[in-house]
Amino acid sequence: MIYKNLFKPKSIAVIGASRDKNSVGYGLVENLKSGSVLKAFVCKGFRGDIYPVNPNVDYILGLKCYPSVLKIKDEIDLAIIAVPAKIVLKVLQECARKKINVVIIISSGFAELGNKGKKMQDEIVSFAKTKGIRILGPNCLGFIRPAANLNASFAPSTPLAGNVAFISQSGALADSVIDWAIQNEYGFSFLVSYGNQADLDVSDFLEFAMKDEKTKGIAIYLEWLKNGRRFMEVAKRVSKVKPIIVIKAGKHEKGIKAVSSHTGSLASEYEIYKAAFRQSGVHVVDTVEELLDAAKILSMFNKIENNVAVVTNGGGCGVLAADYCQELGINLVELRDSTIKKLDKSGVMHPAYNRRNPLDIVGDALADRYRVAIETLLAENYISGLIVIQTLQTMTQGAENARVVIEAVKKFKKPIICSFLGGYFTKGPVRLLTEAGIPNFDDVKKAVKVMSVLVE
Amino acid sequence: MERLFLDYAECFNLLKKYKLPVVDLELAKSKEELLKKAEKLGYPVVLKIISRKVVHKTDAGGVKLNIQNETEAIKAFHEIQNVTKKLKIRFNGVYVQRFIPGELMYVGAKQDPQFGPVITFGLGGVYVEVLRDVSYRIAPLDEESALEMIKETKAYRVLSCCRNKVGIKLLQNILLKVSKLMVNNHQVQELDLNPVIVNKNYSLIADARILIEK
Repeated sequence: MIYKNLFKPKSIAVIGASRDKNSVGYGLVENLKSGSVLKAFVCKGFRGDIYPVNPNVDYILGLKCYPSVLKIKDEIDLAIIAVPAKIVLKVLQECARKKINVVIIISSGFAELGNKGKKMQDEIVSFAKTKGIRILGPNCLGFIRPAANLNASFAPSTPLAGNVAFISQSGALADSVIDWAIQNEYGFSFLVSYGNQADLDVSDFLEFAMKDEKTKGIAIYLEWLKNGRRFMEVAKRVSKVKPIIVIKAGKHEKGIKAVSSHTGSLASEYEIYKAAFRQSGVHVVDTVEELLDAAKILSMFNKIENNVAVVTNGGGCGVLAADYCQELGINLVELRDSTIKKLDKSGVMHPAYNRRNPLDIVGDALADRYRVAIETLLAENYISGLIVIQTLQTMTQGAENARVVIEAVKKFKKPIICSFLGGYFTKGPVRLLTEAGIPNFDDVKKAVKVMSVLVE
Repeated sequence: MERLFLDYAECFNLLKKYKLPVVDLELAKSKEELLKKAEKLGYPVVLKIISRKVVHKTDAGGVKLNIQNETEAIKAFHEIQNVTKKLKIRFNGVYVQRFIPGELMYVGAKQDPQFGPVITFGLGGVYVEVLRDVSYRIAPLDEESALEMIKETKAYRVLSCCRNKVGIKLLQNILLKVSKLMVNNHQVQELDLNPVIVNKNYSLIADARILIEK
């Protein structure tokens, strides 16, 4: 019921809707109506019914405005509340009478402000509980379901639909991630900022992600948990079915307690969270970029055995790749004689190619050599995945090489992570790769790091 | 709510209740008593300062290891007496313990407000906090996770190079019992077993600190 009303609502009320273009109440209506305030793609608006609620205006963005939810005749699946904190309870009471059972409270001014706000928040939560209303927020950005053209947030825009769920404790970070995702054509199954987690928290959204058929990988930005034990229980279950990646902010503690033992100072909060994540099958990363890269790769490919090979047309980059693999625990599998024989026989290898993993096919490699190397290696059962590096020489056929990679992924159904290195002259080939959904990284280390997520 | 450290006797009693293997301690208030108790335990012995206040006993000069005979015992007794004078704490005698050779490990635990009891393991002795060679798990532990905890530290390499197979198995048991102790006793806020001495025959807890809240 909550899942359905949140992910597939047919009618939405925006309480605290506004005509002021600089207000949250305006952004909410605009995002629902047209898909996004800042237009990037051809965004489509929400196809269900939108009911702005504001006692002082008749119309907002051409939509008829209601003085209260109680004046709306139709049923409301979801209410978005953006009124000042002190009247949220009153609005919620109206929602209860209207039999609305899921609300997103955007309004701030609650527990994040201290004890007084916390008290108001507790009142709202206990009232909602008695009426069976579930709350997202307060003090949150909202919820976005691109595939349903549902932008129930005041985020600047709507990203593309995809299969990564992004669950964020920070709303502002989610905003920037959306902008980044639009630039990089990165798609999401849903995005949620859960704010003060007064009711629904990260564990609830893990449950939703598990249930949601569009979600293949889950990325979490986390500062702290409301209920650590429950998170572990849920994450353990979900991570067996869908990969979970997390970035935990707040690594370093401010001070050490006056009375404390060794354990007190050794077992910092971050170490404890890390242990909990690990015991729940949750993968931990250090940066937002890694978070999104890892979530994407895991939503594309199943995890593989730790037997990886590298193909490169530059010796130096091969050595770097080998170093990074060693550091990150990736097993660079030894090439068998039978494999070398096949490469030798192909007749396209450079006479001085190194016959080892990382396989250096030498700087003058054309696309046919890339093809032979990639296909020969991927055809071997003992090789589970490939990192393909391209450096730019005068004869390098970037676009053709990209096509070779794209075909090989289709043919062998094994992951290839690319690192086509360079800038200006490499843009085109990189574009081909990313359009085909193949991840490319502008640094060998990033490519290796993403591979390390797949082999864990 | 008050947080306080248990004294030695209380610590060791709690540990023994969970069948944790400890190196027994004898209290010696005078030199005569010391010589008698050392004789009974058998040389070499260890002498330790008695105080709840001194957290890092070795740093304070309050631990005398590998004492071979009566002369050394008397000398160590005087040295510890001087330490108490310097620190302006009452001298209540010393603790005498059998000296056990082996690698020094560390087992710790604390109650975390989010996750409940957390167990830590690592290289012990005086370098615990400097080297931070530590693994962490949320309790309860099972046999497999207890062994993993040992194996993922550098301390494991120190242990496994010296035919300490039996000791490692016993160490694993210590971790499991500490996990049980922490799960059953929420008033135990923090627990340090340091060192846990591991050799090819034993894993024994030679020193312990337990912080409780009541």
